[in-house]
Amino acid sequence: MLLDVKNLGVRYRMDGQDIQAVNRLSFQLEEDEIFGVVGESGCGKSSLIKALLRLVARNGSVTADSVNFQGQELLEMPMDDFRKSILWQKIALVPQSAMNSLNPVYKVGPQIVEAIITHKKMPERQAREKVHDLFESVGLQKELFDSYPHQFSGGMRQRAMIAMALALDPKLIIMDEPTTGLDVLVQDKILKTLRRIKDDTKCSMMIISHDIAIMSEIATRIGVMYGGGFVEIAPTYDLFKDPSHPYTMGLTNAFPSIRELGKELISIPGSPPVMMREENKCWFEPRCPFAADQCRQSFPEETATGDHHIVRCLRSSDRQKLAKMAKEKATWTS
Amino acid sequence: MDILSLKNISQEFFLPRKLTDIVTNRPARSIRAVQSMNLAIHENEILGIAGESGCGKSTTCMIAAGLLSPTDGKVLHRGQALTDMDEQTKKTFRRSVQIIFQDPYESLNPRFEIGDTVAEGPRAMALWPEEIIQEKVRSILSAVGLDPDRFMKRYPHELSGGERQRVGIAAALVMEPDIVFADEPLSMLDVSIRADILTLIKTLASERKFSCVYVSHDLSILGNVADRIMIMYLGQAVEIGSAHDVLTNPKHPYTKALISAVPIPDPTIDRGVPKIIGDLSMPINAHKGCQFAPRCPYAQDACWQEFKALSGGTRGHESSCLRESEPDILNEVVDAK
Repeated sequence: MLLDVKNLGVRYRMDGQDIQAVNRLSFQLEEDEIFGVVGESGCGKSSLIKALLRLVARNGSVTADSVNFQGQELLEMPMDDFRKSILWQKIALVPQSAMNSLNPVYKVGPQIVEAIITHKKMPERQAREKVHDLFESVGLQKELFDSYPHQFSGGMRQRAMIAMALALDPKLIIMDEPTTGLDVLVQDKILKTLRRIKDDTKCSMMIISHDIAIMSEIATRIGVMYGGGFVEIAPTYDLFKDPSHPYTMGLTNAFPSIRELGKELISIPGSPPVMMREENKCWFEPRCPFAADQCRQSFPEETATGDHHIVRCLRSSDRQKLAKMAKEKATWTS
Repeated sequence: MDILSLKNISQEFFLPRKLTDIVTNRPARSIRAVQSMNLAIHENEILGIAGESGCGKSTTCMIAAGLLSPTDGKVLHRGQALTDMDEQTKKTFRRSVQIIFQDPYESLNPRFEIGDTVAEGPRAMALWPEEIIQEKVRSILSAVGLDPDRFMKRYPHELSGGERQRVGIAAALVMEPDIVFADEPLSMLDVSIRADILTLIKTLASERKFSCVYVSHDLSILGNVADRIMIMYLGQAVEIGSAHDVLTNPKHPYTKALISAVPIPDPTIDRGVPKIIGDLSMPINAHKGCQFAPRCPYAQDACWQEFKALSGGTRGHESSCLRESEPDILNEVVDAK
């Protein structure tokens, strides 16, 4: 196992109020897999990344029973050690809107060389060679080494950021919305590159996105986040074939597909929770058409509904019946 | 009669001349944002315009909405050219063409109550006496699903993204337009509430009998909302037809490649690999022919010399591809995995 997170919580203090951005979140990451995290804005995706990379702002506090990465407790390491031995070396990040994350007044190649030299003792010439190899593996021409970011297209900049994340051969790459803002043809190529890199380097990837169509194509396993934690985690195929949480069922209804032109889209009534408090009830209950009394009285524990298929829903034993009902528009509107 | 028609529209944007250009007496370079575009927007239809960034979708909308005067060509509103209108007709035109903006977080005035935001248009044009305006505002707010008693006095910051976009729609529709331009109206909204706004636009368009030009890069959304779809590539309209025809039976290699690149939310479907050469470029000092030729595996000499402009959808399903009569080409654009 690569990463084992148990009962992670992130709480921010804002204007005298506590906001529980991440709550009772647990998951495991295996080696050599692409784990997709799906969720809407405000579900705690970004706070999860920040907690894993220990980048949470000062008004935030992180609690966890365990965040174990290859046998090391990440949250208990001294910050200096964490920076030196984990960050970028073992866990790398491709930030959201990576396209704008390159320094505009430095040439692209030297920026990556600098990142390598900062973290690893390596002669500059060797680092440059390494960057040439990286450019090749992400599909950038070597001649672009001495170009400035503004000479790159959006897709090329995204590739450069991926190259930078790969620079120190990390075991885990976290990507925040890696294709948002790119055109479909470019997006298609980036997704293919990611898949190839995973096969070549055997690193794991954690990809965060709101687009379940992209996830269905690239992820081997998907975790659906709502209200600060995972409500369902399953292998990609199972998640689509046997969705067990009403929120997952609702999301698949709301998503148009180019292969089903006449499909009636059904949205989930209400809006995602904004201010989250720790409450002893199901997060999704206010928007759930299947909510029963028990859902308001206790917080659903994780239940296994299949191989590696975990769901936080008290009614998961009725899931086949609910999934059938969830396809009807009347279920969500009444 | 068509509500709006674009006749042979071209739009060029000139780049600033560099000092060396002035010294060597070289003419200014230009970007051709739209080239020889013909488009007719029929009564009571939803027309989708799709294409990658920089393809000219937004420029086309701005020209059609009268916000930009084209370098060449004519825009006709119910048969009358925009350039020939007197002040009074221009006013009527401005009222009948409305826009739903992309970003509901930026497009509402934070210091206006919702009621005032929606009433601002009719007040500015003095369309009706104040009591009637109030009445119309209340009725349009309930039509977009916002209870007027609860929302009239609220400020934008008290509303969620979906509610704000509904206000944006109400502000456009209160003018009782006959055509509405919607430029990516869902891109800032969460997935779970997008379907509602999409359905709302569709229902209102058929109830209130206005046409809608819906601009998006997302073909799966357009397939759901649009009656007809036009595909653009670097300023050229390359294909137009009913949504069903264009998406299930594309005639242009670019359309075919674009469709095959759209991810499908079903892990059992394999959509294949589009065979497209290189990357999107900028149409600076572009050649005369088809702009897709440099990336098209089937381009011939003629493709670089000549561009066949569409007639705007008067003949149903049309493509600008010179080789459209050779169906084998299309079968090869996408490789099975």
